[in-house]
Amino acid sequence: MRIISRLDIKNSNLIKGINLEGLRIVGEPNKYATKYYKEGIDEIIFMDAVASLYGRNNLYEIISEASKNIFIPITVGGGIRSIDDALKAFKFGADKVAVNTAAVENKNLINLLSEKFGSQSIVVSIEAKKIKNNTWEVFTNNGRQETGLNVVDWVADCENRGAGEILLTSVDMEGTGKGFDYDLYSTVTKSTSIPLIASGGFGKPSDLSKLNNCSKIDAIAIAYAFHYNKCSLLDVRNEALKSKIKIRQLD
Amino acid sequence: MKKIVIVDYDCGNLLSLKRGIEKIGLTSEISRDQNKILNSTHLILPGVGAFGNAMDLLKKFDLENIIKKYALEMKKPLLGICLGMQLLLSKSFEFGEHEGLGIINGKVIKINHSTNSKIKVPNIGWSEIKIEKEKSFETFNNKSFYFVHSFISVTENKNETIAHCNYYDLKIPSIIKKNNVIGCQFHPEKSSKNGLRFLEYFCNSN
Repeated sequence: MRIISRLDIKNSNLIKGINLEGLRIVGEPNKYATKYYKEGIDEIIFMDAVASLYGRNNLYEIISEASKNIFIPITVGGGIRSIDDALKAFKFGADKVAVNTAAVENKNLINLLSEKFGSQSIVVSIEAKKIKNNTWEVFTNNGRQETGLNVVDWVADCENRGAGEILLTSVDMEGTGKGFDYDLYSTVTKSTSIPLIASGGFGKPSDLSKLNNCSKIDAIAIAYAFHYNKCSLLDVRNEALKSKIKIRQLD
Repeated sequence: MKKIVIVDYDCGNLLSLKRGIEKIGLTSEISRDQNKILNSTHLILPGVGAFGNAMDLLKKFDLENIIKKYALEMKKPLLGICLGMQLLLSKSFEFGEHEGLGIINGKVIKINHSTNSKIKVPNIGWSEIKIEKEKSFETFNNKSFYFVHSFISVTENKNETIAHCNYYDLKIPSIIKKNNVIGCQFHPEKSSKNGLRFLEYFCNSN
């Protein structure tokens, strides 16, 4: 199990919302990223929260700065719409790019990116909203735009097109700290063989064990609970050890 | 004087590697200049993506024979990272069959995920490596490194695989070594302190 810190960025600030809405400023992104790195976080995801709305991306400066001091995998998402956008992200120090809106609009983008850069560097970010029992729909533009796509079908399609990993965010639970959408992850991990990152809802260490017991999840992304000091990485790691979940061994 | 060169063939995040080397107090150059490569004291062959594409790029930039000359005739230290490690071998079965550099005899094959439903491909994550041979690597025994790969490097001579890690019931070759040539499946530039220590070890080897 990988424990990932997710930093949502607006302009040059680290921000956090609830259900991907109502964004509030938390602080300076690299201050938080460096802190998590030093504590032993496994990976970092920088996500531009407004790029896909306005078609711009302010992340490059932040990533470039991060990659001077942070020597763990960095994923960059938000506003990646083309091979050129991805190239730019890699050039500034990203190891993986996450695509969402642009991939839904042009599914072939996933094929193009994975052929060019290899599956391992292509993450498809999916925003899922529950629409009825055991059915989730794919949304884009921070949970605002419905797409008519079923989440399970879209994950399978992404896998076939060469995605290396799926970042699956529950819009319903995101920013609430009330726990994961367990049914979502239990359902989706049954039908996919590529790694899946659960994002949205983590509020306390026991949420990790609960998620691990009901799904074959590979990683969790934590934002709210870390940014607002609801718990520390050490608390999460101790929970994992207690529940015999295999995590990275720190020195 | 040390001259560390990172081979630039449009294949992967080279900036992190350069910055990792800066972090350990050394400087490096990202280059595809044949003379710079041959004159380097330590050469790093990085790489992400598909094997066939990477070999095509090495050929496109006329680097295939240069790297072989550096490693096999001049016998200077060479480190292949991830796909760069796989390229050191004779052939790969990734999307067809491709000839590699053939510096170390062996083949690159897909991770077999049929034995355990928990095994996912690509394998992404941190694993502790077990050093089985070469006492000088002992300092990295049981240390965690970051892996991201779908294929593995199997050396013909088992003594040339000096470390592995466990991925459920699979043994993943993690470091291979033949004389002056080292390959690591993990990304040292992404493996936090242990990774930087590994880069330091290579850059200070003779």
